[in-house]
Amino acid sequence: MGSPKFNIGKQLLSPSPPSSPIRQNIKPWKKLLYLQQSYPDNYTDKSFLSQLKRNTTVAKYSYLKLIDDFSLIVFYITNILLVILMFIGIYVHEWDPTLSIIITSLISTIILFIFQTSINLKSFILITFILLICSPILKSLTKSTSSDSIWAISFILSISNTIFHEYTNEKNDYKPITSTNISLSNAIVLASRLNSTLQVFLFILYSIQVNILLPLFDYKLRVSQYKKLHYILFSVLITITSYLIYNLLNYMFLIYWLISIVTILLIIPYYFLSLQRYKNELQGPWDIAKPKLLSKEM
Amino acid sequence: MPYNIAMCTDFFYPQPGGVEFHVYHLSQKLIELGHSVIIITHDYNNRNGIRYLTNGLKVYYVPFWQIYRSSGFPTVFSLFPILRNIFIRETIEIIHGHGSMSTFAHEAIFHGRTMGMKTVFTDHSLFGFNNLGDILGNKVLKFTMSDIGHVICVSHTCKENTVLRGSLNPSKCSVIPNAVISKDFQPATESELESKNKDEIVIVVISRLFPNKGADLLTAIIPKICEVNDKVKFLIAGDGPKFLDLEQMREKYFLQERVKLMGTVRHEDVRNVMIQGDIYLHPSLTEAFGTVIVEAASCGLYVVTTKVGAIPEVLPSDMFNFAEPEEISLISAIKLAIEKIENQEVNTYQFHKRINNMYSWMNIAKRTENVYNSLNLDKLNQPLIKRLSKYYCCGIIAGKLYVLCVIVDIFIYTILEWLYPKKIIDLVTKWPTKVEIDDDAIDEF
Repeated sequence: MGSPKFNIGKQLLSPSPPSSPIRQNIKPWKKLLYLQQSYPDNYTDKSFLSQLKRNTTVAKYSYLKLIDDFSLIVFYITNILLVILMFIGIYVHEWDPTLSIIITSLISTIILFIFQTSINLKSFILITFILLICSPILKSLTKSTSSDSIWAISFILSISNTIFHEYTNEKNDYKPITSTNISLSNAIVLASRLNSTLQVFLFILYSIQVNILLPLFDYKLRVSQYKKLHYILFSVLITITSYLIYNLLNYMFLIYWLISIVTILLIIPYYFLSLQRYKNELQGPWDIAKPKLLSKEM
Repeated sequence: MPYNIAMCTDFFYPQPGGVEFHVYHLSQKLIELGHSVIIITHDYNNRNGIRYLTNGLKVYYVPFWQIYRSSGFPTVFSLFPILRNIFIRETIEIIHGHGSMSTFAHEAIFHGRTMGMKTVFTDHSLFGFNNLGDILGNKVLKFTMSDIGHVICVSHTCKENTVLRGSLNPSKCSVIPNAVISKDFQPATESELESKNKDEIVIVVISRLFPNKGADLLTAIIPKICEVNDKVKFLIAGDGPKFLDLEQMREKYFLQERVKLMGTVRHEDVRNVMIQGDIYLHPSLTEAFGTVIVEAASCGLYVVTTKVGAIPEVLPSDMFNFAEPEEISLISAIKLAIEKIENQEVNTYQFHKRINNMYSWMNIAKRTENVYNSLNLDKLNQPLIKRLSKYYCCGIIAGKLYVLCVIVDIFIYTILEWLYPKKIIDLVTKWPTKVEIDDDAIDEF
């Protein structure tokens, strides 16, 4: 029992463990468990945490790139607002939606033909006719519900639509399943307040075009070489939305809208960038390794 | 000086596993050293109440809710009444918690500090910093570590990890590894060797087939190894969500003759599985200690393992072959190992004796005892305001929450003292122990 291994306890009791070997003949400490080393168990070597890596995977952000990314949120909110504004137009201001929606439908059909997107003409017609058949049902869907509840549901759906939408600039990465469903639910919920079957049909058709096809079209623009067209579309949509807000609601709402655009486009990216200096990512041998496989088919 | 020690953990027999094993063997050896040890854990099915194990090791199975993989439901205060009662009944001096996902360990240490007792915590696993579960776990750990007596980690990598997660002073953290009972992991005897087919090389894998144990890597490399070498056979023990993938792979490459899937094996049968092989393959992606590779080496198997976590610390370099956790690297490491075995370049029969000298529970128990000796109540029991300031520094919001918890706990303690005064709690008669440390045990150390 008198071997040097037994000074573990004594050294542990001393207030500060020796940071360097006192005696000359002590072997240097090794980071091994199977050796009985003549160091106390709580000995901390100079090499402690030498394998710690910090912030190795942190991406550097540029402010312009961030603004570009955040503009997608504004773009999508514009789409949602266009649907809601159209609803206000029909419901409060008693617009006749027929002409304008025929025009938008024509535009979207032409664009679909030009760009050969995944939705072809057949399914487009099919969806249209199913909508037409269903409109009378949808019209009387929420007759027993009070309007206030509908506005509340629509509000919640719009917020969650903004949150769960697939914002991406990557190729082959656009699968907006959640937001498509929420958009459709929102359209149906709002449409059930309208007075005639035709209005219901046209409104749902319109909201599918604006909330589902338009973001898809814009995504195609973004990943294609016509990225400039995306900016043009973006500014046109913002102008239309602002104009409609001013006409259908009042100037106060226009001010709110402009303030929120500036906040999302300029202030939030800046805040995000300023938060980056607090980033403290720790990596070391304790992390679960990522296996590298030759093929992913297994 | 003998201590009264309470081991508190969520993980104990009848459930198998590394922590359970560690707690049981450490307790047995501490009893052998003359201490009195009890274990406090939650109930397992109909197993609740008090049970006695070998050498009068008393286990309290406290009825409690469980949420995930037998971790207790994280309530901060609800265990206090029963724990206080047990601590007083058993005249406990040292509280030793195990496992950072264990509610019992955290609550026992927290309440123990409220009652002014010595506390030790052993961490058995590694955690990252980058997902929600880990972040929450680390916050809880930080809370418990704020006012702890001493921390024990099972490997140096584990120490680095725990020091970072709990914001500890490294000198408050000791490294005491796991051990194996080497007599349970004897290499194959002469007669057992004869029954083995000399022409084939058997690669053994014993692992719960989870993604973090490298089951995907295993599935990917088996057909490739089988393709290049006709003599190789695989013996895979263990079950898990990736079992199906292995079966599919076996069907796809027609390897039914050469890949044997055994399903779950009980811990006492592990040795009998291991000795059927020549090489032990360990494709894990994370490992805090890796007891199983020590067991395999003890059985006389040459080990091929991925270089992750604390594995490089565990065995001497001539006992195993390293690979990166990549398919190509692992395949070439196995090929090299097969070559070595074929040319008989490694003498695996000596492994057992060497492992026997490296890891023994008696050594672990003595080193743990040293940690207990180092605890000083005068230093631990500081004025309340100093204790609170330690908790307060843990975070902007978390710090305030911690302080609130500590204060509430003191209130609960006062109420409990009034409701169930110390003097009405019966003290138990301790299990009679003969303090005789046999010479073998000392030699072993």
